[in-house]
Amino acid sequence: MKILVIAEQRQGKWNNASFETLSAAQQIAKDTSSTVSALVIGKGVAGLADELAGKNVAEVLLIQHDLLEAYTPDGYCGALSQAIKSAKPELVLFPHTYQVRDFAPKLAAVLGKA
Amino acid sequence: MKQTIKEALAKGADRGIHIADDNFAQLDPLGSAKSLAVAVKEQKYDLVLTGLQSDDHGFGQTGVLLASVLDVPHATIIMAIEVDGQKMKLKRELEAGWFQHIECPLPAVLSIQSGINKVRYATLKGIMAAKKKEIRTIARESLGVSTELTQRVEKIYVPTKTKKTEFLTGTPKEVAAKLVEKLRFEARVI
Repeated sequence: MKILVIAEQRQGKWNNASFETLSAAQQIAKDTSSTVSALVIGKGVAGLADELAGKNVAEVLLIQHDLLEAYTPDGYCGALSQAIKSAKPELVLFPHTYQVRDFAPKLAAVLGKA
Repeated sequence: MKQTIKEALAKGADRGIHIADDNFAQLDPLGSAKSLAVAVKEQKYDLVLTGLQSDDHGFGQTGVLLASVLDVPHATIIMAIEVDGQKMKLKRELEAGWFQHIECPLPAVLSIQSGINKVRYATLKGIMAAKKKEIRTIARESLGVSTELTQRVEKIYVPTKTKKTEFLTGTPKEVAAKLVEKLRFEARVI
């Protein structure tokens, strides 16, 4: 199974719940012999992607665009739905944050997984 | 349910629509959103307001999913709304005491944080007027929405309370170090 963790950052700073989510994914991966991928989205966040790469993950996905500098639900849904469709994870995990609550239901609906 | 709608009418709403189904409590947020979307689409709406989350399951998804089904923009945890022509200026609540000010075009769906307004009392005049206002009841089956559940609640329970006392031993310096570690990594309060 492939597990994808969507890490959250704002203005280049991690939301710490991202790492709790990563840890949860690694725990599930251990119990189900799965692989963990991590994704970071924004603008100018390549450095954060490098940081994720050092966190015992199989791969890191990086989505960058000028329009993703500030969070918008539509921008994030559009970009993440494309990334998830091409990465084809069986399970996508998010940190439970205000931002995630703002777009995750819509993203799930777009992917037909609500 | 009718009573809730009647209260809203007494407090100033013009008319009410009741989508009726005994199984609504078992319905997942997507099922609720799809049902609402059919009824909302019939209306010439500019703005749909929902609560942030329900008091029972507290999924907090119905408003966002409704926007997705209606294919209109949305914003959540709204603390203030200012309509300016075909767009709105909104104040959103973020984490750790932060607020965000955004603009959003109409039509849109907003989910409202509690405390945005002081709930007004229904006046006697309002209660009398409400009696003449229309409440339309629509059976959910008639909306043609799939009743297939995409999620199912297996169990709901009250968290079990446990009390545990732990004594830290060692020199004051060691105890202090252990205490800091526990506060930081277990209680996570510092």
